[in-house]
Amino acid sequence: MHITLLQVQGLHKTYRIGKSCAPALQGVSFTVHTGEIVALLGSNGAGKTTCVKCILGLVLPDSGQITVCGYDPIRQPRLALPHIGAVLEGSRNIYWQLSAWENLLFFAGVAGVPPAQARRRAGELLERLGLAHRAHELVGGFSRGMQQKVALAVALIREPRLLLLDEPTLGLDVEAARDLRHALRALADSGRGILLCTHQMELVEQLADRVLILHKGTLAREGSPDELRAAFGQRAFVITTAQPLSETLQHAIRAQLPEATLDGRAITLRAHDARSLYTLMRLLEAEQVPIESVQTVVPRLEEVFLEVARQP
Amino acid sequence: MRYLFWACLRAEWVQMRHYWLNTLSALVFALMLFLMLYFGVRAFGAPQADYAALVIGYYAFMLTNVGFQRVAAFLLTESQTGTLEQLALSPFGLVMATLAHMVSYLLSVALFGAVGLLATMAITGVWLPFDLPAFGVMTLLLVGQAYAFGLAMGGLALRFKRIGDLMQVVSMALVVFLLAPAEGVGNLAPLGPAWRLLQQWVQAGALPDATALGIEVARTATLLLVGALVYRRCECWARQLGLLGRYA
Repeated sequence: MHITLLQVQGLHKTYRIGKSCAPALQGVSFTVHTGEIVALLGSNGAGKTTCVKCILGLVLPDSGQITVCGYDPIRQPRLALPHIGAVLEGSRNIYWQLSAWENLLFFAGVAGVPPAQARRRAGELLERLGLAHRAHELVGGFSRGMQQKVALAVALIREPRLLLLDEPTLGLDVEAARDLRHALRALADSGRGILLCTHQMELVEQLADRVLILHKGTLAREGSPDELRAAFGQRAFVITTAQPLSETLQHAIRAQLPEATLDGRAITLRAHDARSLYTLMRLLEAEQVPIESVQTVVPRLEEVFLEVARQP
Repeated sequence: MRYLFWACLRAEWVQMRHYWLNTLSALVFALMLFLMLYFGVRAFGAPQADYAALVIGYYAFMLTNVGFQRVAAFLLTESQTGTLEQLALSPFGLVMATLAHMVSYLLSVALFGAVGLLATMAITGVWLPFDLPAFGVMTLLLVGQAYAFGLAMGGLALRFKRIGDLMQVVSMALVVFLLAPAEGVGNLAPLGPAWRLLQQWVQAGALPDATALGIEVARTATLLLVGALVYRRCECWARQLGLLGRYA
């Protein structure tokens, strides 16, 4: 049974700088359940980081309701914050002048975890994230990927049920990103809920159970990756002809099928239904142009995202 | 809450160990400073009582100054290193995390001073009569009042970030409060009365009576409360404007 860990309801936030106002969030609502990885996508300035910081109580929303495990993180931080771990974008999150072990013990204390419990958890986390062999070296000397793993371990030291990760794979090499991906999947499988903000579509395709797309402070799309792709349309048909298209035929196709793109002998048709495909077939048949192949291409999440991002 | 204080103390100790050369230098500095005071007083032929008063006065002033300066510096450093927002995720709140850091930092400074002073007394063979409980209580009152200003400055640093010049202004004001004569408004000013209690004890060995001590305890508690409220208000303001983690 899935339990709701995070509920965001009608979140509004406008930044006021002098006399100017910059709306960042306009009525955003969503949930995150146990065992679920939810990706929060959006262009720069779409409101992702503001949303994450509002959930953490680091930015105060103008209106709206947030509950984490049933508690309000702004009015009940003592009850809500022990359930949340976060890795924030653009911050180090950890002390470079301390070792991984010392960072974990320090932040455990900050979260109110008793020292004996903190030592046990720190040992387990360092082992699980493959950092045990360098546990006592200063974090400042670590690679970016290892530092990010330490930041993740720090977020996990309080054993949170909800993880908020803002660009966790930023600057990581392929291997480190893969390790982190595996770690995140394992965490979700162990019953935690993860809200993942990222620009990396590959990561979203591989990890996300649900995707939220923010656009100009509003939630423009929500659904599983498959649902979003299906809603986007729809597959594309790529028809390759056996001979080049005449000028007349190209004109006819463009006139009757403005959504079609022509590239040499390949015609790409993005269609909501098969009617356009039949129209194209008729045009090709009329000109007696033989068809070499017909392929269907499933749209990528990136295309769904770009379609939303291009909206005015 | 005790785990938070313990974690801050431990982090302070760990950093002293990692940066041992810096730690050693701080100890040598404290030793040289007290030696300089000792030889300076001797060079002018002043009696030993003056030396004791100078040392105790300096020690208390140093801790007071640290209390005032450190909060804003700590918050700005944390936001520059990108760890302030992680501290703000403490269920105990940012103000308690700041206080825990301040207490552990103050203890480390007090320890350096004490080691330097003990080493000086061992080298010179002049052992000062040090009534630790009396010194502790009166210094705590002074430091507590300075911390109240430190907290308020820390809050302003969260909201306005660059407050270096304002710190200078308030520093000067605190010195004025310390030196203000014990009459009229001077008796209402923070720091001054507590400083005079310490002075009277150092110079004449006169311990303050219960009323005077009670007034200072009340003044310290009130100032700390006001400092914490200013801090909390500025923290909320910074959160509203989305400025908490920013450093410029």
